[in-house]
Amino acid sequence: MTTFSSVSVTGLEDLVAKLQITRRELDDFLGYTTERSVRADMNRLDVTSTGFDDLAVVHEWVESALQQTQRRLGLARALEHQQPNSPMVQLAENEVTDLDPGLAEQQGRELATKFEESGEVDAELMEEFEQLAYDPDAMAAFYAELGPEMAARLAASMGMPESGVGENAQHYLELLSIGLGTAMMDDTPPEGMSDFSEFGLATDDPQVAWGRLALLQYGDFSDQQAFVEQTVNGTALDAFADKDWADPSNISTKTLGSGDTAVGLTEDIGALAFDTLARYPELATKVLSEQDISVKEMTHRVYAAAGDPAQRADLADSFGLAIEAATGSQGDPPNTEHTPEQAALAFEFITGSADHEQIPPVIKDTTARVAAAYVDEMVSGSFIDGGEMSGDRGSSMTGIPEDFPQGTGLSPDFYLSPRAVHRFLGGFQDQIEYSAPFEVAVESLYNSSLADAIAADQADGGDRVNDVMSLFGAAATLYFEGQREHAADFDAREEARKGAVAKIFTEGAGVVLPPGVGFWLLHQGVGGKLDEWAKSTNTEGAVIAESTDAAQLRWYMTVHAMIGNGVGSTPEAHVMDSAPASIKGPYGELLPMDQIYGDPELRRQFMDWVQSVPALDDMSDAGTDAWDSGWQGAQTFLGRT
Amino acid sequence: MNDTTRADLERLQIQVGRIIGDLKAALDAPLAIMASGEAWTGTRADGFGTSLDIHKGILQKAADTIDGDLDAAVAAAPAEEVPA
Repeated sequence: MTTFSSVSVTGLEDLVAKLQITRRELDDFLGYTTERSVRADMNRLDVTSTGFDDLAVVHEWVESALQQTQRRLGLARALEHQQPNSPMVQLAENEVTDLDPGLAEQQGRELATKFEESGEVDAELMEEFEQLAYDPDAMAAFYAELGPEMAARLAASMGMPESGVGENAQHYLELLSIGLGTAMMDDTPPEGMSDFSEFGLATDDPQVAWGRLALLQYGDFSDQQAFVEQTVNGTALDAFADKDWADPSNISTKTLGSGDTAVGLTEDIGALAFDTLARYPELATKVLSEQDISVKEMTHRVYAAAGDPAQRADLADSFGLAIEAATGSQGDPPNTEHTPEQAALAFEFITGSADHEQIPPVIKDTTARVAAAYVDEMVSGSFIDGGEMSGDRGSSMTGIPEDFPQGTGLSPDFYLSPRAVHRFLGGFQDQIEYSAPFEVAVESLYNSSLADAIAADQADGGDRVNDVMSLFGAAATLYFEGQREHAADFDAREEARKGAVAKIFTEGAGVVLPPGVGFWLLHQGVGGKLDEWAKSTNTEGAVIAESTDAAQLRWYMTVHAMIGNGVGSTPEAHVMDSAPASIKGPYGELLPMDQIYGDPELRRQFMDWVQSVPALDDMSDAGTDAWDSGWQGAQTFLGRT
Repeated sequence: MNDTTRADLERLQIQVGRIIGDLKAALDAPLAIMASGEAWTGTRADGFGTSLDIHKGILQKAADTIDGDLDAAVAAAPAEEVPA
């Protein structure tokens, strides 16, 4: 029966360190590795002690204890990524665990020799490899024996369909990659492992280049970031940053073969380098920040290479993944807090993308996620100033646009131009699943910004609500006009949204607006759009238009936010105290929109009541007017662009 | 054995006296880590811990023996003559 140990990597590191101190202290007396020792000093004075014999026994045991604990530490490190979020790693106690590190190394070397002699990969060899794949002593010896070039060529052979590895090629490549990651964890690497620094040197052999990068795709290299960085740069990205980046002889433009690989990885060497970065977000930020060319220039190059019709689509796809990692745009929903380095890269990428009328289709999911992650910057960049050339300004990492309203609660890391916002947001409108994350993000930001502004204005009588409403009115215009221009299914989307809103009137209570539709609905209150629906033959539009007049739904949403943030309330009385019982829920709260607008009588009572409370009525009217002002500014801006 | 040797022995006695305590405690930190259960647990770890404990005993005995032998050598050395 196999028994298991629970081991902690940090705990074992501590234990190993302490045992090493013990060994040094013993050696101070025994003098195995030092010239000076207590035993030597006593011998010089003709004093002997049998205590040293016992001390030698303890020293021998400590050597053995170190071997046992270091071996388990190495194995635990290799297994740790397989058992994430577990403080202790489960380790099988068997003959492999108990192996003398020297014997484990010997096994690894012998296996490498078999690979070299065989000249091909077969199931039996790979089965043997799999047994050792998580053993740092064995794997370090295996790769030290094989050497960096052979290792890369072995990996490349897995990717080439014509090499005849067969259906297990991907599994084998994964094992080889895991094995290299394990080898790098060896605390006492054998001679030969240091040769792997060669992965950071330029090569013009596409098999070697592809093989190096393929070896980094599956294993755990999280503690070997310098190695990954050097490999990615030396093998591909340095070449991509060169002037001759587009030349067919440039290694970053080369491919493993002439078609798809046998392992599901891209054959494009430049793309595989970006895929590698996408695995390690912090490294992606560092590497892309330190290239000889800016990310803006890199974006131009990728878009040019991807081209239309699509040529190097994988390059654009993988570059997008690296950008998401490097700019901190990963997560669901995409993260909106960023480091200065991430933000600087996002600025370059967004402004670089916005230089293009069309962007490669495969990167649109990335631009959509970056837009959602940088929603503060998208909304801030929508600000249309009131100058002679309204909104006609450049994007800037540092410069705040003239008259930009303070106190809106937005915290942009940079200020885009309205033109860049409009084009960047328009770029990913092809499919509704691309635009959904941004719509959800901007609706969420709107709700929180409005709530904060109301609370702040309540405290000091400021004018932040109107500033927020105006900013979002402009942002909504740039966004939805971009959608109108670029989304092939724009009409279908409009129908779907109208359908969602129409359910309030046809189905009444219980209807909840899908995420993001609220922001769209806010935008429908302007320009008499809802009135226009009534004239159309469209059923959903007509239902809404017949049921209410323009802007009412938006008005409800604004009023609802104001009530929730204390507008009209005093320490003595809540504003809802004066509302008719019929529009209040069981806890005295305002009924949701679907219930009030699903019933004409409740709608009338709601309207009458709000108009009887000046604080609510005035603030919500001013707010919706401010939204309209933002909308008007953006419309004017777009009209002359 | 001459007077110089006695002085050397006494100097060595002082030097060893400064570090003998550290030698005796040299396995205390590993023992504490094993006892915490935060590094390595299981049947094999229990065996390792027991062995660690046994070797701590051997270590302390060894340290006491060395210390005692040195003390005995100092005691056996002729007293140093006071210069006239």
